[in-house]
Amino acid sequence: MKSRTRKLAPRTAILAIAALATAGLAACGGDSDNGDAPAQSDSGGKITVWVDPPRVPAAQAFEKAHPEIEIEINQIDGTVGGKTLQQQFAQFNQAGKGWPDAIFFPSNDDIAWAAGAQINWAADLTELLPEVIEGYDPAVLAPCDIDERIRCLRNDAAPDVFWYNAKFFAENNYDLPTTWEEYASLAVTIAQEHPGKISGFTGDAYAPDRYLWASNCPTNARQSETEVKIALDDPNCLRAKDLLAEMYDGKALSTLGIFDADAAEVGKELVMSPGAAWWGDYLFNQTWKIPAGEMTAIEPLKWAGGSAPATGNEGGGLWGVSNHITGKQLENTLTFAEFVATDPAWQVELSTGLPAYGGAQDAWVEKQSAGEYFADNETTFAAMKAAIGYVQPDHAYMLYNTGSVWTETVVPALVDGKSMDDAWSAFSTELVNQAKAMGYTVQ
Amino acid sequence: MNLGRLARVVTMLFVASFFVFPIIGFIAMAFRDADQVAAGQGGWLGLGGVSLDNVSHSWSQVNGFGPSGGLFVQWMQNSIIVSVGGALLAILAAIPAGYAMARLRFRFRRALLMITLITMVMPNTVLVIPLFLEVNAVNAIGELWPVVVIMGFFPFGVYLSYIHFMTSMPGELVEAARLDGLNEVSIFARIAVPISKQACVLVAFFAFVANWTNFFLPLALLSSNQQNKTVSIGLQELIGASPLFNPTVAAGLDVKLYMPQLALATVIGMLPLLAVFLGAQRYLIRGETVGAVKG
Repeated sequence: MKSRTRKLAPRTAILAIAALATAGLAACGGDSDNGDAPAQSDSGGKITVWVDPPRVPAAQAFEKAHPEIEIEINQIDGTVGGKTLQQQFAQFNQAGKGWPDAIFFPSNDDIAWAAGAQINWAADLTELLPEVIEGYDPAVLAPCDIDERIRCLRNDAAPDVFWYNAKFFAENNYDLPTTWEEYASLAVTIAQEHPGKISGFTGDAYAPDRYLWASNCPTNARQSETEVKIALDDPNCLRAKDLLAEMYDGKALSTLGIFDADAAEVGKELVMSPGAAWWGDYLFNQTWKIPAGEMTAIEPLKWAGGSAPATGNEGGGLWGVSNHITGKQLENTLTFAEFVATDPAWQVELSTGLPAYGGAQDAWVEKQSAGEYFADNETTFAAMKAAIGYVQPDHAYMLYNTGSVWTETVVPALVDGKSMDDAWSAFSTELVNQAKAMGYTVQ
Repeated sequence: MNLGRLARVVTMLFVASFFVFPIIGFIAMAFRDADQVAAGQGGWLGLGGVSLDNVSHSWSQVNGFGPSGGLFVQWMQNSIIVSVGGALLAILAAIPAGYAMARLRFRFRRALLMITLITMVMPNTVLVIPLFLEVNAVNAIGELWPVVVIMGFFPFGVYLSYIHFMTSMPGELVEAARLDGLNEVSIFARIAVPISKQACVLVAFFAFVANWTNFFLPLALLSSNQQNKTVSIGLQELIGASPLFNPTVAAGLDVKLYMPQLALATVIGMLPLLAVFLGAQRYLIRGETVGAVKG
């Protein structure tokens, strides 16, 4: 009996595995996950929108403004850099249904896969919403301009302006810098004359946007769907590295990130820095609680020899529309997209960020100015609007996240006391590795 | 107390402290104030800063999360529905299946047992896409009932039940029942079921814990319906909406979810597990030692 049991064991195991494999294969039979032109359906009018928690009021404002349109609002996980959303869309592609009709992407990088050939969810809005697109400064909509087609709408603009503490500058008779190079020199001087005062943060994922993007350094220079140019030895990159090295060696930079818990204390010692438009209210006012009348902003700085200011961009969310819908469902979804991108009921009354849509900016500025938080409100808000046009081109959102690579390489190196050169080298190597890991050919 | 015994006790206390202190600190965190936590106040393990007022405030933040608030309570309700429903189905399926494999003789019995074992060790993630496609085929994505049904498929429960009947119900007992004229259904209903209380509790406990902590299945099947999400994926959403992890996202929210609020949500999310554990503790400790021939 024992020998019979032994003899049967392999056969039963093979049977069991075969049964499982058959069941698995049968269950896996679905539509192929490819980039073919998607089939489009029409619900007859009902739309489903996915929004992260802060954008729920936008969808609710639409619901209130358009009671004639039936809408299902699904609040999704807003984790920036999360991968589950992409996996869900891959599942929907397998199933051939289930996609939302419109979405607010939790990460700007999400547009890379949503408009990519494999997932291919984001509709080409170029001909669907031409008048809305016309209302944007092209520089603001650049992240949505993929292969000369507009694949998303920008919710808010987040250009970097040049922030400084007007009270500190007035008390100590410092002149404001006009170039990035003057900024670095002055930062070192202030650090020497006022130990503890800092002129920048390098420890968060937006740091490369503040300094490298502003220098037009090719970290995210998309060439095609599968090709990217990454050249950290480019002169534009090296000038940014030299600037950071000068300030780092001169003890004018903090290795903390702007969102770190300790940054609330260190932030009070910030005398100047490039930073996003949203730093003003969110960081200085709400988070670091710097008293009103101190911080203020001017337009971004120029690089020496440059003819125009140059700056980067930190965030600024994106809306997408499904290319799997048609008819009334598409019409209603486009109404939704236009509303959340342009309507003052959301962009002015409820949104905290500078509207990306040009037509909503003045009303937003007027509302925000009433707070009278900045030392020079008029100049600050004018700088925010002007900075939009100075954001450097050739910077796309990719399947890899440059900010994450920065925080994984540069930040620990600097915290360990290594040189900026060492940190830079680690950043460069890892950035190329991650781009290749995501399937890009790196030029 | 001799030296050896003293050394053993000291060693055990030392090792236990590694586990106990973080748990105390974690629970205390739910009773602390976010500003105090940020300032590093509160003394040893934060116990100096605990108060019921803090919990009350934290709960108002956690409960205020969602388009019109109350989403966390909804997640808890959903988790209870799928976990209890899945556990009940698991008992209903596992006890007869385990009995059949342990005490009945039929073709492919060993193959079935082998499949059970293989399925038991198969990672959850492998099955997510096939399950998603199956549920999608019946247009039930975003609904709770498919999750309950799938959670009822609990091969470890079948294995537990199989072991129970193999060890606690001798073959001779079944043979004797057959000689007495009972048919197979009667043997199961009148002899096997009455002695399977231990197995039922064990299957229910392990199924409930597995269902409650299941992340991938609700993530794949319920993410498209905010009213039907479970607490396991909901906690991730709370973390995603915290200024500590997603500052720019959290800036636009009315509720502020810092460490105490996240800890409170997690502690509340653990309470049903704790309750089930305390309820099943007696049976878990006695395990499979009580059987039909021991009475």
